[in-house]
Amino acid sequence: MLFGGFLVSYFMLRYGSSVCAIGAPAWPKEGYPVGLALATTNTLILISSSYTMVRAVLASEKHDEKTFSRFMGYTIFLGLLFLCVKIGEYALKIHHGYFPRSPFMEANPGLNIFISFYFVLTGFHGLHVVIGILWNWLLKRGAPRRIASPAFARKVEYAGLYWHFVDVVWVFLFPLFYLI
Amino acid sequence: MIPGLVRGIIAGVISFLGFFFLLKIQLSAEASAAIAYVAAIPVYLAVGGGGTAFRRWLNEEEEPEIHGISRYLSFNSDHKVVGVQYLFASFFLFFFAGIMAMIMRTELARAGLQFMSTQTYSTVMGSHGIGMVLVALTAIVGGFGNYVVPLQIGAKDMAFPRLNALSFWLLPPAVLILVSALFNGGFDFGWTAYAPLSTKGPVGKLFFLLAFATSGFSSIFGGVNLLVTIIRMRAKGMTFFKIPIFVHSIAATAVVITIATSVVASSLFMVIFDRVLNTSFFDPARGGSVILFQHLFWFYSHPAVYIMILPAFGLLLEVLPVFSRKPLFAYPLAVLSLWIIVVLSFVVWAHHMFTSGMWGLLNFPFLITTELISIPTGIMFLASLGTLWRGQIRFTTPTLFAVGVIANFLIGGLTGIFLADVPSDVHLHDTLFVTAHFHFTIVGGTIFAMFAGVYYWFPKMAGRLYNETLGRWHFALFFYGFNATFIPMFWTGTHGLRRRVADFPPEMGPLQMWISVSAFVIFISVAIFLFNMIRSLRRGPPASGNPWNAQTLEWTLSSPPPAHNFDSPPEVHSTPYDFGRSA
Repeated sequence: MLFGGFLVSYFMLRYGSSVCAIGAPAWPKEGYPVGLALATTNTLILISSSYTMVRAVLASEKHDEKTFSRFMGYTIFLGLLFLCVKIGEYALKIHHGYFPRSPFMEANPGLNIFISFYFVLTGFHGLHVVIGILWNWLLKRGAPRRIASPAFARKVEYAGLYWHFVDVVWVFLFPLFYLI
Repeated sequence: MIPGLVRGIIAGVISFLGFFFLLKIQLSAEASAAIAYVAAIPVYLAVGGGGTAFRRWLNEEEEPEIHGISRYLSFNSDHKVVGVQYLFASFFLFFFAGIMAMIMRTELARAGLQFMSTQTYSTVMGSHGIGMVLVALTAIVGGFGNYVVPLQIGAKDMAFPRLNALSFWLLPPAVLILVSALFNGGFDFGWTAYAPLSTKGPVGKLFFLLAFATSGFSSIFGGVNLLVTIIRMRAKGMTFFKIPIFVHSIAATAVVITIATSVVASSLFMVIFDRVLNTSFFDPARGGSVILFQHLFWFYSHPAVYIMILPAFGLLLEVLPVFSRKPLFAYPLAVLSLWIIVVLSFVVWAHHMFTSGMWGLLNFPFLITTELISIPTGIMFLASLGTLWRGQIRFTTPTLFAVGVIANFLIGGLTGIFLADVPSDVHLHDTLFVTAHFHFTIVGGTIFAMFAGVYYWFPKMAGRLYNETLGRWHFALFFYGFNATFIPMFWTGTHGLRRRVADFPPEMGPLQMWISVSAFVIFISVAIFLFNMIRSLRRGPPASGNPWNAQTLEWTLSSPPPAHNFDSPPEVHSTPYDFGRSA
């Protein structure tokens, strides 16, 4: 619902009346470094990580420590890779002056709102990815000792649900910021 | 050995100041304060004892049992301890915000400015507001929800005991930073923090926003936990229509908390980012919208009044059958009404915004949905009156407060109609009429119900009986003082006196003096309450397991209940309100 609040605001400001009221171009069109290639790569990375997560959850149900650790490792690696690409994308935006109160944005005040949403929403999503990576890492670290207990399998399943949720949020963010 | 909470707070404050002055070298004061606060919370938790609890969670170890008074100041996962912690925190806040109200009424006793600037008045008013809102949000749900719900459904503890401890532990930093906001420029936006007033100005406003956001997290953790507990851990045989009505009301509240609170978090974060990172969500010159804040805010804050009032209804209907020795009248209908209110509470928020300049076509639908809520609320009234009807009523202090809820909320509910109707609201909006209406619903409803609950469960929690005479004095003075304070405000409000203003026209002088004196009567009644509680905790006569002859599961245990509640899991065969029928 946190993301829900942000997304509703996004739609309200994108298609609501207030943006038109100032008469400035509100959403970037020409010359905006979309970073579509980077974002598409990231989408593929996250979706693959969901697959490896499923494999890890299945392995934990069978108490198979080796497979679990391997696929959990893949998931963590893909999560980190996602973050690296994301940082690269931020660097690209900042390099082109797309951040609040930059000289370029002061000259085009209407663009602020798009860039606000872009950084806050993807930033919050990135924060969730970081939390997910930490959580997964804790589980992977504890696996050799605790793989046999059913409580551990349950914890892995919760972590899996969380990871898929993070993935689903990205599936919403991707079209909003890169496609439409 | 210093208790965990004290240790944690000291470490938290030190690390906050350390982070703040380190970051200040590079960043603005706003940004350093925000980052330092976020960074100090883990330190506070880890030093306070949350770190050990987290390690035990990872390694699937049991929590050790702690005895003695120090457990109330430690990171303790026992739901009974957390409940008591919540209650004490609520009373602390209640006292703090009450003092603020007294300061306001002293200022308003005479026309003109007596001893404070309008700016200070706004801060005092805002801290009274947010303080009391937090009390109303946490006292019943956090206090009795934690203490009583697992007992009433026959569970050993909450579903996630450590998360439960965490949800309480997020409150002290919120309170601390809220109090420190008063000394850092204050906040002049009431408890609502409307943008763009909140996106500019002293750092005290940022502290307010951080406090609000922290307590929101606490609320969400508590809500999720209660919901899972009630769904998963009920005693055998406790089907949907055999759940005590108080548990139903807490479950309904938890649904509202879980859905709505994160939406207000998004709006608070947006304001914080507007301040700290120069985003432009609420800056129309840079593409933002100020109405957006009000929509997001009220999408939470209207359901929030149901977070306050639903548990009060539940408590009311829990107490009345016990003291009128009759089954709860129309129990299934009352339960359904609770859940209908949950649904409706999400589609009424814009009735706070009739004068905000939002899209005019929205007025009418929100008028209709708002008035629809009076139907399930009316059923609550019928259930409570039907329960009292021809009962063998015992007028103990809990009964008095419960009956007080009915009387007050009737006035609160009826005056709400004028605020739901667009034409009268345009006149009454932002006047003291709104203040009076709100206090009649929340003080008259939630706070009265809270006191009913305190007196009702005091023997169970403390293992001692309170003093009945002092309890009655508390009720009499509180009820009189409360009505004498707020009924005149309807009049001043309809005559156009605006709320949140430190001054008033001289011709209203005598009435304002009357209101101020009555407000101090409330203060005296609360002092009597505190005296009664402290005295009874130390010297009250010992209570038996079931002093009220009630039938819910918590009364089958000793007073206070043993550490792991039930020796063998209880079974339930009937509703808990089968009074007057042969078993």
